[in-house]
Amino acid sequence: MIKITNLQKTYRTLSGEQERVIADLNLHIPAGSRTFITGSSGSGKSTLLRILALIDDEITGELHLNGELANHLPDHKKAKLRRDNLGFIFQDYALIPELTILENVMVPLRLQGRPRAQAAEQAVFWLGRVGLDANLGGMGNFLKKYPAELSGGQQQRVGIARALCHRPKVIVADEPTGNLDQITGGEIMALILREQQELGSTLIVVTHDLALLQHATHHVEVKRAQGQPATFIPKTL
Amino acid sequence: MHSTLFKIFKELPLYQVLLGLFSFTAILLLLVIKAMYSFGLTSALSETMPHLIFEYGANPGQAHQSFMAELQNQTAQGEVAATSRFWQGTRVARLYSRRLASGVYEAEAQLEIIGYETEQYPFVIPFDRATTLNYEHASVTLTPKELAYELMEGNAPLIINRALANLLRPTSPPFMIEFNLEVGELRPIKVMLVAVIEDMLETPRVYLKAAEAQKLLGQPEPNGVYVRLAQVEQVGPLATSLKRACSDFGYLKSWAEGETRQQKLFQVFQVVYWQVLIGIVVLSSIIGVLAIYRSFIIKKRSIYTLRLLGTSKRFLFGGLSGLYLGCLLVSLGLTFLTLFVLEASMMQALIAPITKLVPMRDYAIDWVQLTMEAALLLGFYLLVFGIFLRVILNENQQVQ
Repeated sequence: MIKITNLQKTYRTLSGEQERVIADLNLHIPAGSRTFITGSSGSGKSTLLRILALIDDEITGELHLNGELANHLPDHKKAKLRRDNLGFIFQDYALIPELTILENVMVPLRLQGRPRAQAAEQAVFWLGRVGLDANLGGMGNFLKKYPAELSGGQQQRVGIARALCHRPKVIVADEPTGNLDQITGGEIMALILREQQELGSTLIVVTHDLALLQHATHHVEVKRAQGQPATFIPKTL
Repeated sequence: MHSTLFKIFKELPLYQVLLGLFSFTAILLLLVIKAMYSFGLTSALSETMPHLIFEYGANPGQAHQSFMAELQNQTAQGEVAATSRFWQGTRVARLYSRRLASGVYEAEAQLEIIGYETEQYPFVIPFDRATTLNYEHASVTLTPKELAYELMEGNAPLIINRALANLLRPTSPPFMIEFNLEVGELRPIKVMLVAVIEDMLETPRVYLKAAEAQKLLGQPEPNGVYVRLAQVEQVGPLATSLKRACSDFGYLKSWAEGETRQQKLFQVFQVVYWQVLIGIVVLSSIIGVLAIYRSFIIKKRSIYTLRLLGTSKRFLFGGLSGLYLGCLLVSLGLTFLTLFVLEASMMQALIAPITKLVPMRDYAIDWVQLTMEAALLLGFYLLVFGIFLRVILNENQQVQ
């Protein structure tokens, strides 16, 4: 599904020096797998996630997504690859505060060019699937509420609905339970795993919670010493 | 998708439009003040001064003939409302003012004496619109027609300016003054003060019939000729062409070039006006740029989320630029509309009561220049907007 070959990532520091954060990374994430990437803060997990999201342009090497060499594509083609193949779940939910819950979930569908009514219908379906429906709480139309009016768990459910509604081939989750209590976090993780299984997608989870590794089929540990590039060590489960 | 983008960024255009409206309302207010000031000044000057003053050179007789020939040559029938030769000089005078309650007021002063011809109506200076005084021993003022009659047929009628009226009795009319005017040679002439004109001059002036002025000044030859035009709009162009044609035998000036106290004050006002105007525009621009910056800082995360969800940089750049350009155009459009509509009604309100008057020369708005400046401002805003947007779109923000 995702194949990374000889990938290098270099930053320019404030003093003008080049700092290599990733050197010669070779990684293969098979389709349908649940790959968990663990490591301490600053180890390079998020950098890898940005590279996987095709947001980071300044890399060398090759990144194949779904068989297509993705990192040399122009931005608009990368954007199309993202919207057709990737779904993102964030630790801070990353909902757009100016849009209602329904509108937030509609965004990826609208970006795919679906008509408003169809996008709305599908968004309602997915919100229901993650446990949020219009009559939730019994006060008005729940789906017309804004993210700020929801609890953390509810916001994450909206985030999951938004990540899955366009049936992505790859689900990228960055610390999806990091901001939630243990019970809610457990529920959210279960929800992600259930939907991943239903969709048959590839799941990539970045986390420092080693307890979540029980759900993984693949595990990559990221380590990085001060001033050295990160090393990505595939672990046997 | 554009509607989603608009919903996310709706505050930015809204604030920009509001800022534009606020700034231009302030500018319009200034413009109204300036226009009213200008109109008031123009009106006052036009009713107290001749439109054109031609001062003879070395040969008054020839200069007069040449000038009148040139004037006739350059104007059509009916364009010149009145002409009058004038006699002008300065003399020390003794003023007497008899007052009913406090006896006689007596003082000496340097007076500017102006003699003019009053045989024909309308007069070259519209004295009939001056502030008329009471009839002697009566408590009624002269009507304009009575004043005109008095000036044409009366026994040594005298008009003074406000500066002299203040010397005689610094209170407002109506009042009645009779005084004797004595010159250096002590040739007493009894005159009848009939009106006061508000000519905004600081020098005390008296306006007399030509014959009396000649006697007082001891000068049979006139100093030049006054001209009043039917349309004030023609003063500027005619003055320019006559100046060129008549420069060899005299000196021509128009009332617009006068250096009255009010005109000097108006120049000061002009400077202040431009400073405030520039201040408003600069301040608005700074606030506008800060608003763009703040808006992008606040929306940075939303932009990043949109990118992750599959929005291309091109779409965001195009969409946001279009949105911003649209709102700026709406803002500018509103401003132009406001200026046009309000300016038109303002002019109507001001011009209607003074049908013959036009604003002073520098009043006219140069719409071409204004449009160019607006385009420059628009370009500057878009440049700033584009730079901010580019930086944010290319920023590799950390995935939380």
